[in-house]
Amino acid sequence: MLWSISLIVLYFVAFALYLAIRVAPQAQVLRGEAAPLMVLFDALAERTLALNSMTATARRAVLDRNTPALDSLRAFVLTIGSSPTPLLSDVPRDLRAPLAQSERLTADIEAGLAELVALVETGQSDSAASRLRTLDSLHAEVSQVVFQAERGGFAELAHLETRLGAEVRRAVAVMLAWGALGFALLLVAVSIMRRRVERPLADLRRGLDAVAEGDLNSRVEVRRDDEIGELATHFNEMTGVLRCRAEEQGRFAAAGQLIAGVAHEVNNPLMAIAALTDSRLEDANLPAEMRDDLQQMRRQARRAGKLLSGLLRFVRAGEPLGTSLALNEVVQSAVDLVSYRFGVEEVKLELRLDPSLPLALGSAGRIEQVLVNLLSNGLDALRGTDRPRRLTVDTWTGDGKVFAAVTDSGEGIVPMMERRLFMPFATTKGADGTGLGLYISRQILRESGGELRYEPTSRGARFVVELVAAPAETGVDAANGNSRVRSGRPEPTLRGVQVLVVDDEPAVRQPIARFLGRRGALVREAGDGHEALALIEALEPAVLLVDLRMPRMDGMELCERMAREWPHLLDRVIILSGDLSQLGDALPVPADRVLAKPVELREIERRLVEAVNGGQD
Amino acid sequence: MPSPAQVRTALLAGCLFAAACRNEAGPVALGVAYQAENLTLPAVELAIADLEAARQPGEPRIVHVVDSTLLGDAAETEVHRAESLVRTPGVAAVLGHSSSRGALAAAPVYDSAGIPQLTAIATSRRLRLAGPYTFALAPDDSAEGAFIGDFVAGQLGARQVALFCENDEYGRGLCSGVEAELARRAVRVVDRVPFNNAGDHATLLAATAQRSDPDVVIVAGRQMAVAAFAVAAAEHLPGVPVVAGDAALVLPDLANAAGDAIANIYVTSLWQPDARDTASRRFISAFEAKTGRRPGPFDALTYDAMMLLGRAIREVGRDPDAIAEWLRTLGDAHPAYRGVTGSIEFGPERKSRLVMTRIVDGTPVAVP
Repeated sequence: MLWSISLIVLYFVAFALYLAIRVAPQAQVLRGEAAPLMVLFDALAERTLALNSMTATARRAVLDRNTPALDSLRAFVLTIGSSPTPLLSDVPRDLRAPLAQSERLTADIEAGLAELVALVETGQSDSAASRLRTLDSLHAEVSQVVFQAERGGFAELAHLETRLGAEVRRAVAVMLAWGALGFALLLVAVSIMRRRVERPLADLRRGLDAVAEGDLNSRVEVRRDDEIGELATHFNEMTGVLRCRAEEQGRFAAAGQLIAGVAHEVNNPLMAIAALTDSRLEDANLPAEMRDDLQQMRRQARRAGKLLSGLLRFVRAGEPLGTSLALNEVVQSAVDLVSYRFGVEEVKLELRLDPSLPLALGSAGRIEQVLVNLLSNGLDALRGTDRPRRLTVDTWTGDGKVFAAVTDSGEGIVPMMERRLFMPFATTKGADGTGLGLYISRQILRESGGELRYEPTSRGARFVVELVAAPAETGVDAANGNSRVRSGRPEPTLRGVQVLVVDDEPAVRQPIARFLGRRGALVREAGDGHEALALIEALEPAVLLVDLRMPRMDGMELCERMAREWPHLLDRVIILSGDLSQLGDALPVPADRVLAKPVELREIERRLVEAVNGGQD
Repeated sequence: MPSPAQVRTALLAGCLFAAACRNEAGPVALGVAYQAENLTLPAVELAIADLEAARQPGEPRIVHVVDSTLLGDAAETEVHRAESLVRTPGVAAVLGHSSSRGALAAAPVYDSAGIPQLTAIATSRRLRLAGPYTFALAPDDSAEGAFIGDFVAGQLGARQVALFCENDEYGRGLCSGVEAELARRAVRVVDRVPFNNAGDHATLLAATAQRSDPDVVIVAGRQMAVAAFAVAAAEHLPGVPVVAGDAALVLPDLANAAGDAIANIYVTSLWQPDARDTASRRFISAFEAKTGRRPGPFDALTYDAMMLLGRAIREVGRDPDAIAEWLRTLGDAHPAYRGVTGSIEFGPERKSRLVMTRIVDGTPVAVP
């Protein structure tokens, strides 16, 4: 709408200018030509009046012998020639000859008046009377010529006026013609603009609405190859990228669920392995060689379990925002996730982690995602470069901030990319990159009050992660790795305590039961929730170790039943699960009473003891 | 029945038209806005002959065309004469007109046509305002008026002067210039009388003699009027000298009309044939050989004007605009023209070579 009004205003301004340019010079010419004509007529009128007056005076001087009249005439004669005659150059062509003639006749009359005075003064009355008649005749002649000149002058003025009027009429006609043409052109322009601008923009707006409603298959028709067409092409490309991204995320989410399921299935055997090896290792008479083998089995099981939990955390990333994290641990986790690539791609990793690092504000899972992205980028940048290939991760603190930097020894970022580095869809990896990694990473860090920035180096690229340090009281405990100060009291045990172990996997349940039995506990086993309920009703155990995923009645339902029927027992339940990430906020017990498989049997024992003693171990 | 001069002019115009239609290499015409009977025409013809003699191979021949179909020099006549000349094919510039009144009246015609007019002997200062295509060779009436006023007050020791001004552009202009100089020198103008050429000059002077007692009579008019005033002055103001402007120096008319009174006349000359340079001597001898008389200032100025236009054509060709521009920048963009009457240019610093003369034995002699 605005452009339409602007167009109309512009048109009429141009129109006014046209009129000014077209008519003003003509008016100027009219004024230029009329002004000297008016001056000339004034001069002529003045001169004619003077002559009329002087011929009357001369008549009195000659015929009436009037002395004052003669004096007056003589005084007039003295002024003759003192004022210049008008220049004919300023006079219209047709008036030049009559004006020149009137000028000559007037000059003759003036000279005749001087002569008349002389004749009277020298007493030649007859000659004076004769000269007076001649002057009268000349006067009549000059009056006729002046009259003709004036008539010609008026005709000239009328002609000039007619010319101006014609010019104005022509200008008005042109104005009307241009106005009509302009209106028609305006309609055409509006139509064209609607077709060329408004319709494509409307298409684009509909496409954006569709995207906003989640339809990433929305496409806009590219009508032309101008700027709007380019916009439509970009829109289609963008929705394409978003679609790929969504599909990728969908696949990623599906993979996450798959991993969660696999983790649970794998964690149970790992737990069984760990429990069995732990149980065997309790035997003091075990041969040394077998002890070493069992210890090796236990380490590998733990390693596999740790890797699985890291994978689960990475794919779920479901931790709430604003929690605190130990950056060194997050760095280590991220490195673990991509560690297989260091060997394959012959990259030397150097970790220079500040051990005195305070906790930082943020979600460990999301920051780990950022760091994995930066490490992956670094590894990608090093691919194909000369050896040695080095990737360095530094952490440090200062000014209330906690920093981590990932530096590679690759070829660095080309200057033209630096400005667009953190923009969406900016990638140096061609079709292999989405161009969203750094953009999303920066968004994640900014949500935590942090920042991600690029720092050019002499060789390679350096990305710095900046996080806000957590308040001191939050961090001390966690930073010190949950170190606990133990009292000098005797170590509490499970000796004589009724323990109910509920797990559907005998390979997990039985070694735990045997271990706890050896530790003096009175252990009962249940294969699912129903069995557990029967035993609880019969025995009312002091503490329970409950697996979450079980057939017929799982751990969650069991806890709900306990909450209704034996609420006091719920405080003595330790949950055991192969996939903690699936629990979310729906845990039936506090988080510190949840153990992730695989877990050491001693840790299970310790937690059970804590539960029995109400957390006061 | 047309006169031989009219037939000659018509034939020449026809030739020029044919040449102009054929190609650019035809002769270039210089219009002459004098009457055919004018005594200065021999100077025109002499200049044309000299230009032809000096013409280099490849340069166009220069001819002159005189519009002699009109008689008289009234302003309206001069306008028609100018219109006739600018219509003539091949005319690149015009020499003339012969009077200030005529030149001023004709100036708009030349402006419209874009053809330069170079007036040799008109002296009105208003010619400077007449338009970009009008050039005046002679010193203007303010310079001549100052010269006369200076002579009257200085040489003649006049204290009271009577002025007789011909009531046309020339007489008014000259009187105005004289009055200015006399006022500057505190010389009183006791009478100021307009007249026309056919007037009763004797009565006018008699009345003046009756009214006042002038030491000198100054007449700004042509030769016949000056002679008439001089004769009357001899009767009514015996011993009072009559001083006249350049327009009166037409010999032998002035001497013949004045008779004995010629001894009492001082007349301004725009040039005296006493220059010792080769060009001037050659012109004088050539003119005498052609006409049998000594050249006057009008002859010399006319000759110079024609030679100057010829030089302009040689320098910039036949284009009237180029000729006008060349004349306009004379003495500035290129050196001043050295003519018989001295150095010629049209800038404000132009010097005049005025001489006061008396007529002795029919010949002007410079007053020491």
